[in-house]
Amino acid sequence: MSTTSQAAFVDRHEADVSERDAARVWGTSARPLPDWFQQKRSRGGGLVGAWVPIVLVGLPLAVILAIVIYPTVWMFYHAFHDTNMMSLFSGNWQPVGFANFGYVLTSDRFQDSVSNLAFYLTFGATLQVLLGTALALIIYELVRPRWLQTLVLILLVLPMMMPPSIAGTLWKFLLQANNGAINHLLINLGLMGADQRIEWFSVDLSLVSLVIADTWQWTALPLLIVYSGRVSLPPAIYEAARVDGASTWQVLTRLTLPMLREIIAIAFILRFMDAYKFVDKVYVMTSGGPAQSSELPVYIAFQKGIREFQIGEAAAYAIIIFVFAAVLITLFLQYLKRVMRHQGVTS
Amino acid sequence: MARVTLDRVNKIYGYGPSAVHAVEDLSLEIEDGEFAAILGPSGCGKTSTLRMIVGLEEITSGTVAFDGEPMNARAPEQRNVAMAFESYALYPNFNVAQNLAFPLEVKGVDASERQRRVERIAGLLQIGELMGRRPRELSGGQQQRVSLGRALIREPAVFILDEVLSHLDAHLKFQMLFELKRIHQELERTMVYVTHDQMEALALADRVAVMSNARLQQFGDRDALYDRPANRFVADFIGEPPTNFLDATVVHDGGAPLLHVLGSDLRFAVDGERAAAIEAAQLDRVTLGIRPQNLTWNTDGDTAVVGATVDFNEYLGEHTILTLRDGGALFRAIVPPNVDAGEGARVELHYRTRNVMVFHPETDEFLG
Repeated sequence: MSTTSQAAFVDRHEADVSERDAARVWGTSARPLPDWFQQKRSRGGGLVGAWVPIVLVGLPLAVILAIVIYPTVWMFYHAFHDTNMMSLFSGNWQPVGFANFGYVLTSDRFQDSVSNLAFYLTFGATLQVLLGTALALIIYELVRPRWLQTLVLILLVLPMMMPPSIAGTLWKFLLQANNGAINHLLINLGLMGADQRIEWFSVDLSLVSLVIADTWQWTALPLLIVYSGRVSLPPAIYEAARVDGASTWQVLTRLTLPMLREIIAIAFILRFMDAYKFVDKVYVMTSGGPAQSSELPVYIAFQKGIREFQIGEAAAYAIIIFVFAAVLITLFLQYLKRVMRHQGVTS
Repeated sequence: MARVTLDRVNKIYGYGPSAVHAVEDLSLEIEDGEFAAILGPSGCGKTSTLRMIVGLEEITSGTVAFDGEPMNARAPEQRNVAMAFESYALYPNFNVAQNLAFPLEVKGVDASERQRRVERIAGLLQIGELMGRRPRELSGGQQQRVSLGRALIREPAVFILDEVLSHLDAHLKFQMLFELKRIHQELERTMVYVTHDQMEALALADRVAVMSNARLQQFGDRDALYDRPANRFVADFIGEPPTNFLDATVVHDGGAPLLHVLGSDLRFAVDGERAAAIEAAQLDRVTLGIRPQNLTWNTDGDTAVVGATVDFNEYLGEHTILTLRDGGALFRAIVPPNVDAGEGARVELHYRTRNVMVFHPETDEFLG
């Protein structure tokens, strides 16, 4: 660029800046609006008609109102009324205060379902995360060729691609007491006598069966999360640890697991939150039975509301679950915020 | 304390047609307690060489030995080496004190001894006030010092430093150069420093190994690299701005040979030693090299003279770089900042005949 054109450029630039400053100081645009803009404005009173923004905002708002807000308000309303199938259609439901909540919270059915949920969280979600973490680290460290690693991952992730209800049906067949493949396998492996049968869908074991099926399907999720976390750890740290003379065990316990702590926690929280909507396999495999031995709170809410039309009671269930979930999500978000601050993502 | 010997070391990555020969027949002997640098452009194999010394990379063929003892089969932790990484590689879940102590912790050194040595290293590197911080709360220069400290705390036989100053700003780099030098003098241990920056290498190292294209070009102190470069690559790579290279024909004008630069009227005289080398090689064409620093504006009498036209005058404050032209030949000279040499001016420059370097025109080897 020659000196003269450079000077011209600087002049022009400074003129721009001073014009902008003037506009900022006096609150006016120093330059008139372009002709085409003014013509459009004077003719139509704006670039688009006044009805356009109203429609653009109003339509989605109406949809949200119809499918989210109205049902929620409706649910809260009926949680405090004795609505059931009869009163719902006749329209003469009566306010009952907190009676629905009292009934739900004190019922054996609800308390059993909460202890079932606790069992599922401890042995289902937790097992999945532990297993997924172990598998992810084993695959990363021990399967050397890259292509084989990818292949193993694809195979392990396949169950996750299956609709949960189909997976549930599949496991219902596999776990049949008389003709199920699992019992046959145990007999053929000599772990159990030829005349013995494990009743997988008995009162004692139905929840265990659910946990087995769910673990088969969902272990791959924490596995993928932890694996990607491990892949993103800088290799130089591991080289430094090798040069420093750390043993494999020291590297695992002092470096890898602490560095993956947040990632593992997030995998755990995801499975934890999924546990709240764990309905599909329960419905397909055990229908909550036998004798309500494998029921979870959400499944009861679904049963009460959609099957038995005990609207008031179902709404109370839904709100209790909602409160639990809200507390959990709040804690989760708090934790996520802390992790992000810790890692310098936000201030 | 160890003498590091590399004997015909090769490194080949991959197999078959896609194989890359990263290090080729490298032989090198670093003395006990010496500060050696491996210098070369990106991709020349210097980092591969260093990783083979540490044991992070398998040696394809050849031997790496410490004090004559072959190390090929030993894992890094069995070699008693410490390494500072280009990316620092600090453990993010530990604070500074824990990072420094980790090499001792894994060796089972007891806590009070660890504490004592961490404090000593912290004092040496002036990072005492950072002890409770995590790596991500440190600036680049601080991380750099911690990573250096983690290497130093083990008191190993050999220190390996991989481009440790490359991410620091110029001011901090200068300060760290000084500190590294001081640490080396204090500890008197063998250090191998890898860099692509000739200033760092020449400032720090007793001897510099210049690498290019997977091969060692020259291993020597700065005088050797500067005045007797092994070949044209070394002459070009060492020195800023780079050496001027001019193709010339050898003209025997009675006694001493004279170098006529092709496509111009430039004539360079050479001293007796170089003349003899040219005679011995029986060449009538050579590549002539002369450093811009050795073409001077002033003379103390004992110099020859060469004339050219100024093409460019770059005033750089402490000095001026003149780009000069004569016919088709272009070359540069460093002159005092205040010289009166505008573009197009005809100027005369002085040089000592012993500063004219002569290279073989085909093999690029240094003749004298």
